[in-house]
Amino acid sequence: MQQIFGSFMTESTQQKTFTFDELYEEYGDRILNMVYRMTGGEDVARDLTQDIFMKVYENLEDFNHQSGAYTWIYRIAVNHTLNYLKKKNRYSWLDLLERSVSEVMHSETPIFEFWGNDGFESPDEKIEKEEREVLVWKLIQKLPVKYRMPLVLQRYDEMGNKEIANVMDISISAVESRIFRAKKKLLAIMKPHLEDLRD
Amino acid sequence: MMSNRYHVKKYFIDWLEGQLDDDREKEVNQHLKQCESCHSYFQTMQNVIAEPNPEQLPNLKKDPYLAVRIKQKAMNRNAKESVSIFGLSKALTGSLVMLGLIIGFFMGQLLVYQTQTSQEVAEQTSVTELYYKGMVQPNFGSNFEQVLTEMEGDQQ
Repeated sequence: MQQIFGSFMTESTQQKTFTFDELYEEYGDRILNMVYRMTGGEDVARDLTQDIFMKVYENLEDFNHQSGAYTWIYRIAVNHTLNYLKKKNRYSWLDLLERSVSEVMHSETPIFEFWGNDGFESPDEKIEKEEREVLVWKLIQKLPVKYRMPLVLQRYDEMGNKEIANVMDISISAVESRIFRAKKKLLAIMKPHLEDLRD
Repeated sequence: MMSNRYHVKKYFIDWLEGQLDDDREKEVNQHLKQCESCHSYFQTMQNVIAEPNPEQLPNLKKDPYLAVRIKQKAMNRNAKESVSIFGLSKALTGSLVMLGLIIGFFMGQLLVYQTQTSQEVAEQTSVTELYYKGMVQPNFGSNFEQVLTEMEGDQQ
């Protein structure tokens, strides 16, 4: 039977043993909400969270204690979510090929979503009046994934640049640069909604 | 010096992140004192960008039974895998079974061949034995002569 214990380095570099249940109890909500902030869909977020914790369970025994449980679990979650969004974007290209040009031109969904491509901006798009942060979050969904991920981790998971760099396995300067560009792009996307964003 | 005609909205993010040089920053700050539109824009965007309110977003609650389901799923998977012999993988178990069958087939063939050969040898031995037994019989010579006489009689 699969062993359900793993040891992790805590902040004070002392090894602490967690059971899988304890890890789920500690990080279940946070991972679920992080994935939800990234994907924007509850069902998808729940499915991905299940996959993520399945991976956590399967790899608990092999965990090598080089990082904290928090970083390790977040890294699995970030990679899994990015892979999902990458795959989804690939399939949306296939879907795009099947649609006529006029359908695509009148569509409100982003055409280019992944690495290096700009978010599809539709100035006429109306988002219903709601809490300001909900509006900002919906606009963040329009950012390319490359910029969306570090911004979501900073904004909603309150992570520092170093933590984001660890979790995403990129340099701190890359994190800073991506967040800066994400904010710039977000400002451009927010322009048509300026009135809704005022207090 | 910037006038109201040249709005400074494009400098917002650099201004917020402190990435403007001193002269530009002074100009932007000066402009903000004079321009209501830019002032309002900077204020709104500063609130939005620098002061997130995650508590306004929907907060999902984890499925309380997910951990149990995951463990159950993993156990089922392990149970399926444990069908193999002595914890070996399915592929290896299958290969071993096939190898066993092939060896069994050739062993069976070998056994059948050996049995047939030994039977043939036994038969040959028994004929030889009979021949020698016949030769040592006391009336063998008289019978032989009798046979020869009969044969000569037939020729005549």
